Amino acid sequence: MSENQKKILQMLAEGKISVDEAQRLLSLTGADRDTRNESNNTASKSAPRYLHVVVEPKPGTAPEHRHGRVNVRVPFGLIRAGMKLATLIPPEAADKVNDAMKEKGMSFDMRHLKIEDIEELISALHDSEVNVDTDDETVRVYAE
Amino acid sequence: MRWPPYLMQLKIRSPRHAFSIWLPLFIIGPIALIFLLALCLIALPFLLLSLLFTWRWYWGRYVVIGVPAFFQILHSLPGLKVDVEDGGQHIVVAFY
Repeated sequence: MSENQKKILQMLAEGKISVDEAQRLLSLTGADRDTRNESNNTASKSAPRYLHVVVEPKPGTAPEHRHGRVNVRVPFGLIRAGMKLATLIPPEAADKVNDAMKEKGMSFDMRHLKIEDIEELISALHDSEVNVDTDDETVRVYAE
Repeated sequence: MRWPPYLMQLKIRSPRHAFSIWLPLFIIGPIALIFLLALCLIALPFLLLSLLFTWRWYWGRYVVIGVPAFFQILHSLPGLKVDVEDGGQHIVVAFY
């Protein structure tokens, strides 16, 4: 246990911070890193490294219906690091994001999103691929 | 150990302009780091004071935790590639 983690637990014991805040701070200091590494080591050596999102217009599509071509490759390490940064979003801002997502029909609380959830999602992506085929374009989301 | 990106490719093409550059981050990075350290040394007293005053509202803690998170993101950048093409416009941003 690192010095920072001890301090966080001490602050929790003294009642200076709430349980939720302690959990957020601990996740940032990498308290869960050990357990995550253990699960990663046993999970697989060929864990996917990149998330690909490819959008391609179909050949022969009329120019007025033709959308752009997109090819994005995101390292999973960047997603994990981004998740850590996302935990720094102030609760007020998180509420606004949640409200905006609710307006779009997605009932989802981003404050409850944890790094473990992303790890699960990444491991699930290894075996799956999303293909969306419309009249104008094809969309592929896959891990590599 | 993951290293920060050493090269960045930036390519922008439109019907009127075309621009492509490879940025040697392995040269720019250390120079930027030296400037950043010098800036931190100058701003350290003000930074510490602001951290002290905002500690109660967690903003100071966010800053303390945010800096390592920023560097983690920086070190995770290699491999990122964004390639978007629409009409006559084409943008490529890639880190190696």
